Amino acid sequence: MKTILNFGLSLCLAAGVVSAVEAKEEYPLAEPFTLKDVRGVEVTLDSLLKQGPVYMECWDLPCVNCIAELDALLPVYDTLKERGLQIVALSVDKPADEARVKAFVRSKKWPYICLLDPQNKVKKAYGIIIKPTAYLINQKGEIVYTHIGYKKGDEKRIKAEFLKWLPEQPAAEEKTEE
Amino acid sequence: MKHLSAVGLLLVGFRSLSLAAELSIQGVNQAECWLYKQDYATHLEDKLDLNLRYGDLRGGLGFFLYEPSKPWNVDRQPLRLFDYTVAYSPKQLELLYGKFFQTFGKGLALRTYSDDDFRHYKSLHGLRGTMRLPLSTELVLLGARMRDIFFQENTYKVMNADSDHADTTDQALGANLESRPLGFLGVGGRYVRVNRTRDMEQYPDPDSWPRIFNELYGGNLTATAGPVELYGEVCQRLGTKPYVGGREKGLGYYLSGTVALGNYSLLGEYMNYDKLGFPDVVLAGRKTYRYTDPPTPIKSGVAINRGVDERGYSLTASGTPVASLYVEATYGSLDAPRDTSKGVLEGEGKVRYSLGSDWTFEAKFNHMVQKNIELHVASRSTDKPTVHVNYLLGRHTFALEAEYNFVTEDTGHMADPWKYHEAALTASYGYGEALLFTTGYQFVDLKLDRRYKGETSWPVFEVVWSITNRNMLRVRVGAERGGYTCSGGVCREEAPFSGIKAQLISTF
Repeated sequence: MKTILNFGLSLCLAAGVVSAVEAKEEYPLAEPFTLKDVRGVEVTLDSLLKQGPVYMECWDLPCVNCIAELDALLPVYDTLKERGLQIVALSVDKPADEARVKAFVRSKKWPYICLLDPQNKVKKAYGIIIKPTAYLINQKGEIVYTHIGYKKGDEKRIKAEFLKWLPEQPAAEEKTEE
Repeated sequence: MKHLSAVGLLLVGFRSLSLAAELSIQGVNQAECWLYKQDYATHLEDKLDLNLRYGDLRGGLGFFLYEPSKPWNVDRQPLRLFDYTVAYSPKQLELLYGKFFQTFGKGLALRTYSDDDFRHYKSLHGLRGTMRLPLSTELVLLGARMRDIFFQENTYKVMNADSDHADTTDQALGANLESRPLGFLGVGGRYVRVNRTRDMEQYPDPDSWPRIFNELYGGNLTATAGPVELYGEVCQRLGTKPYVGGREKGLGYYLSGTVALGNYSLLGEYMNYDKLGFPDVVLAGRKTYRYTDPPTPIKSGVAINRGVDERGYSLTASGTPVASLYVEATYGSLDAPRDTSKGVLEGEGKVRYSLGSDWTFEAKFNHMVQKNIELHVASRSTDKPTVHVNYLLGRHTFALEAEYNFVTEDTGHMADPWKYHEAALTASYGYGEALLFTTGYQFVDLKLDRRYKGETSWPVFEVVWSITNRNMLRVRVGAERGGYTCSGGVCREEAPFSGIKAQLISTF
């Protein structure tokens, strides 16, 4: 009983803090990270956000729906990459499967930024429980959209979210104008 | 009360800081309620994880509640856990105290993890320092104790806790260095020492339990040249031998090579583990947990004895001949050189084809032979074709999945082996983003008391409602045979079950 009471009180405290934060800003901030991609190159969230919004999907090899979502987003990415959209395929497979992930990604020829999270640091930091879970992070580093699960057709709705957050003009042109 | 104080102090501390600067809080809550058909027993569970960040300071709070309704016994007991993490992490450094997960290399020396699919949580509790140095170099130093919680037979168990075999008091010390000094070359080295504070089997009297230990050290090398990537890792174990004296030696190595040509890739793996896994003793009818988790060549994850005596290889070829077509073929073999009665062999072929943006077809065939992997099963051979079709019509989504498994099973004490078939059919209808209805039926054409407790069919109905894009409710009614299943756009490992399950996942 005492534990449950403690838990309840702690929840209230947490809720207080959360509500204070929510009152201050509309969207939660994305946790910064540094991970290696499938080629062994270090990638940081900060460096990605300098180039445009990031849609980061957590996937692993046994997750059929994760792979289906990443496949389905290919034409969406082709259309919107000029406007600065970046898609990150975040593999949370265990370290023992790293070679399989690399081989899979190479044969898939995904144009995405394919990151490896063998220690599940990003997965834990973002509180990801189920796969696929994806986040759209705007250039301020705010998580503006969360997508849990995937079924055919979701890519159209995800694209609609992208369009809300992408600049009207291609990112390169914007930079030139600046 | 101590926990509450710690939580309060941490939250109030962060709250105070938030008044002066920007505070970020993220969290996820997973609440579940199960009602078992048998005895109308209930299973209540809640997992809340909060991540707090203020500049270079990070905090993590984790609450876990498990409340079963049945009369409590050794196997079914409530579990209430509180975990915390405090970390200071400026750019090139991280100092962390509390709960964490860590893997060195490919897991030959050390691997702890959180696996939500299998509800298996192997964590370390202690101190960890991480330094990021030039030349893509990272050094990790840690000192911690391990905790192992897993969900089995529809209940959570803390491995060996509160028993005479409480080796969760083991202490792990480790160092790991990974570097990529050149773009095409990566190197790594590591050392782990596990001090076991109790040696349960040899010393029945707790006062005489000696401090035995195991040391593991090894290294790895990665080389990349154009389309070719090679990886090799070796690890040696030096353990103690109670009563006998001297050191028990173990050795394991893992090699992999990948070649990518155009839209095709070929992967080969070879591994050999001899007395690398530890401990290899059986306590109370089951093996104690391990600190290592070396790769297995079997795609579906089957292993023989987790690095104690295993040798195997695998080959995987995959490719996308055209953009809409993906093909994959895998073959893996694993045996035990010192026990030739054990082995696993698996072959799988898969084709996935998309017709426009509306149709998707997937066909798969899996063949597997297992010898003396399961208790009381001398051999089990399966041939399983699977077909999956998806169709999209406006805001309507339709999915159909069918599998038929031809099984031959021999307990080793039978004149003729069992021959039976396991079938599964799942149909889904989704409307828009918010709703998905799934109905499924699993069937086996032979009464198997040992494997399925005499049950032969498992009908199930499920509704998934995405209330908002951060809140998802899932209600499932019926029976589940168990295993890795994907439904409602979510993949996870399900234990055999009959009744009602409701799950609410909220992220914030």
